Amino acid sequence: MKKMEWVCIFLSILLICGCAEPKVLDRLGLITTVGYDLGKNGFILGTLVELKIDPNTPKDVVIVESEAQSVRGIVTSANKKTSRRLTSGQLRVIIYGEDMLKQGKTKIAQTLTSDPTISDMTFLAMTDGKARDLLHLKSEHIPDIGIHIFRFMEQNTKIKTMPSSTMQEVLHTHYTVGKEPVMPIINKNDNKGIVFSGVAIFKGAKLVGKINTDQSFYLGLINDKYKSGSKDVVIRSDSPKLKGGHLGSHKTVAALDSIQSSSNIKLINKEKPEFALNLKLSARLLEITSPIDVGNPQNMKLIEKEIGKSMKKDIENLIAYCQSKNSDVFGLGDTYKRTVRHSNLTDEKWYKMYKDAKVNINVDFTVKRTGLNE
Amino acid sequence: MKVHYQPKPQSLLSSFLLIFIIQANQVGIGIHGFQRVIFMEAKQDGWISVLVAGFATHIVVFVIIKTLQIYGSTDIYGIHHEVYGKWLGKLFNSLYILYCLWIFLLILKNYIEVLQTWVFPTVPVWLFSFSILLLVIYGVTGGIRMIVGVCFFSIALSLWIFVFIVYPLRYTDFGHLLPVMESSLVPILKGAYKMTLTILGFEILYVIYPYMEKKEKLQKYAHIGVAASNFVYLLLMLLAIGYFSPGQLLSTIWPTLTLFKIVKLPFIERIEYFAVTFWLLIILPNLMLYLWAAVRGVKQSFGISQKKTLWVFATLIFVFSLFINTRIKINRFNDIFASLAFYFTFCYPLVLYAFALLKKKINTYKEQMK
Repeated sequence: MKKMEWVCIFLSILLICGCAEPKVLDRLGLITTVGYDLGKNGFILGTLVELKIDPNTPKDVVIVESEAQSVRGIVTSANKKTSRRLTSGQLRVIIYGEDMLKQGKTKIAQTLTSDPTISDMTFLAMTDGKARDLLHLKSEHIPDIGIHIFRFMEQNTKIKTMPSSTMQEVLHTHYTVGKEPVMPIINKNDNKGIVFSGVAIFKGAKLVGKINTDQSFYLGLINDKYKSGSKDVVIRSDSPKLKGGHLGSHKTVAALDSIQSSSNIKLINKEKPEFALNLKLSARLLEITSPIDVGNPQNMKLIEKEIGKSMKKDIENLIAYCQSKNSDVFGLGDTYKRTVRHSNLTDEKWYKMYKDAKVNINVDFTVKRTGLNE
Repeated sequence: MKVHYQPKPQSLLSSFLLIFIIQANQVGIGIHGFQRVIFMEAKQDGWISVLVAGFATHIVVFVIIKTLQIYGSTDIYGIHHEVYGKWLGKLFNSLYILYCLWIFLLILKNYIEVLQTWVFPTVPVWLFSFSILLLVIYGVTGGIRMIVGVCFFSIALSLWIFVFIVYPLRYTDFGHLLPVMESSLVPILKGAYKMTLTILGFEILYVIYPYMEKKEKLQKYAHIGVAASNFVYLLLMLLAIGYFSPGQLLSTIWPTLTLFKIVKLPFIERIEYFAVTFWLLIILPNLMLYLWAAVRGVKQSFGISQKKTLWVFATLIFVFSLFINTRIKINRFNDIFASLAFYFTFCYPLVLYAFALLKKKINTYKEQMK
C-alpha cells in the first residue's frame, strides 16, 4: 500500500509539471494600450502599444498597427509583425477613435470581457479623431505613451476630475436599463502631451454627444459622491456686491476646494416622469474675485445662495443637453424602474419617456470655511 | 446482508466534524455560476429563491436524519435492503451508486471546463481528469478519516477567499435589489428549483451516518453545516445581483469567478487565476466523498472488495470524461442531471421516510400478532 501511495504522488507531480504552455517573459510582447479606429471597408484599425522586456535595445516600447475584421482578430494579425508573442494580460487602457463609436455598431467592449486574460479594470476612453494619432504621440517627456495614459487616467479618476470608466463600470451601465455609459475624452495637447478634454455620452453603444470638463464636474456631482473635489464656479448674479470682478469682466469666480457632496434622486410623479434631485454640497471657499467681505455672515449667505443658483443653472443646462441627445447618463430610468413596480421598462420605452422627463433640482450649498483669511 | 453496520471504533468520527463534511460537500463547483441560472428565473428576487431552497434543505436534512434514526447505525444501502427486500433493494442501491458516480463526473467535468476556459486553454482534458482522479483515488484508499481530514482543510484553507469580497463590494449597488418581490411566487420557486445542482451534497449523510459518534447530536451539527452553506450562497447571490447589472449577469457564465477579476494585489495582479486553480481544494472533498460513497455501496450490497471497484469506477469515469468535451454537451449533461437530482435529493428522502415508517409499523404489528 505504501508503495502505491508513492507511485500516485510521483505520477501526480510528473503530470502537473510542464504540460501547460510556458510563457517566458523575454519572449512576450505585453500589450499595454490598444487603440481602435475605423479602417477601410469595414475593417478595424488597431494600434497596439507593445512593451518589450529586452535589455539589449534602448527602447522598450514599440507601436504595432494592424487591420482586421474583428476586434479579437487585431492581435492575431498584429502577431504577424512582431518577433515576440503578443499577449493582452497587461492591457491597461483601450482607446476608441471617435468614428468607431459614432457608428455605434460595435458593442462596447463586450467582445473583450469574454477573454479571461483581459482584466475588468481596464480603462476605456475616447479620443477626438483617430486613436492611432494619439498613440503615435512622440514627446521627450513621455517615454511610454501606454503607461503614461494609464497613470494619467488613474490619477484623474482617483480625485474624480474624470468619470471612472473601467470596463466593469462602462459595461455595468451599458447593460442597465435606463442608464447610459460615459467615457472620458483624451486628446493630444499640441504634440506635447495629453489632456482630458471632455466626456463622451452614449445612447446604447452609440456616441451621441460630448460634454466639456466643466459639465463633467456636475455629472460627477449627480452620479457620484465627492470627498475632496475642487472647482471654479462662475457666479452670474445681479447683486451689486458680486459684480465688477477682476480683469474688467462682469463675472465673479469662486474657487472651491475640499468639496464634499451627496446626491439623491427621487421619482415624484409616475405618470409623467418627474424627478426631484437633491444635491448637498459643502466646500471651502479659497478665493473669490469680487471685493466682497467674506467675514460678514450676511455676505456669506448671499455667496452661498448665488453659488447654489449658478450650479443649479449649469445642471439644468447639462440635463437639457443630455435630454436633447436622448442619453440618460444620470440613471433616471434606473430610478424609475426601481420605484415603479411591474414597470417592465425597456430601453426603447424609456427613450420615449426620458425626453419629456422633468427634473426639479435643489442645490443646498454651504461654505464650511474660508481658509486662513476672512 | 446485514442492515446494521457498525464500523470499527478507531474509524469513528466525532460528531462536530459533520459540520465540515456537509459544508464541504455542499459548496463546490455549483458556486461558480449559480447566480446567473437563478437570476434568469427570479430576476432581482433571486436571493429569495436561495432562501427558499435553503429552507427546503433544512427540512430534507431533518427528514434524512429521522429516517436513519429509525434503524440506528446503518446507511442508505442497509435501509434500502430492509425496506424493499433483497432484489428491489439491490436495484435501488445500484441506482444510488450510479447517482454518486454521475455527480462525480459532473463535478469533474465542470471543473475541468473552468480550468480550460480560464487558465489552461491548451492542456488536454485527459491530463486533468487523470491527475485529479489519481489524487481522489489516493484519498479514497486512505479511508473515511482521511477524506474528512480533507473536508476540514478544504474549508479552513479557503476562508481567505472571503477577504476578497471587499473589492467587488466597492462597485456594488444594492439598489439593484429594488423593487423587492417584483417576481411573483412561481418564478421564485422556479429559481429555488434551479438551486438543486448547487445546494445538493447534504445527502452524503445517508452514507456517512454509521461513522459518526454520538448520533443523537447529529441533527444539530447537520443543520449548522447546512446553515453555513446557505449563508455562503446568500452572500454570493446578493453580491452578484449588486455588482452586475441585469444584462451583464445574464451573459456571465461564472459570476463568482468574474467577481474576482477586479481584485488587484501588489504582488498578484490577477487573483482569479489563483482562485481557479485553488478551487481544486474546494471540490476535492466532494469528489472523494462521492466516489467513496459509491465504492462503499458496492461493498455493502454486493460484497465486492472496495479496492477493485475503486479502480473500475475510476477507469469508467476517466473514459466518460473524455467524451463530454464542449460547453454545449456539458450544459446538456448538467440539465439532465439537475432535473433528476431534484427528485433524488429533495423528493426521494421524504418517500423513503414514509416507507421506512410504514415498514416499522408492519413489523411491530407482526410481532404483536406472534
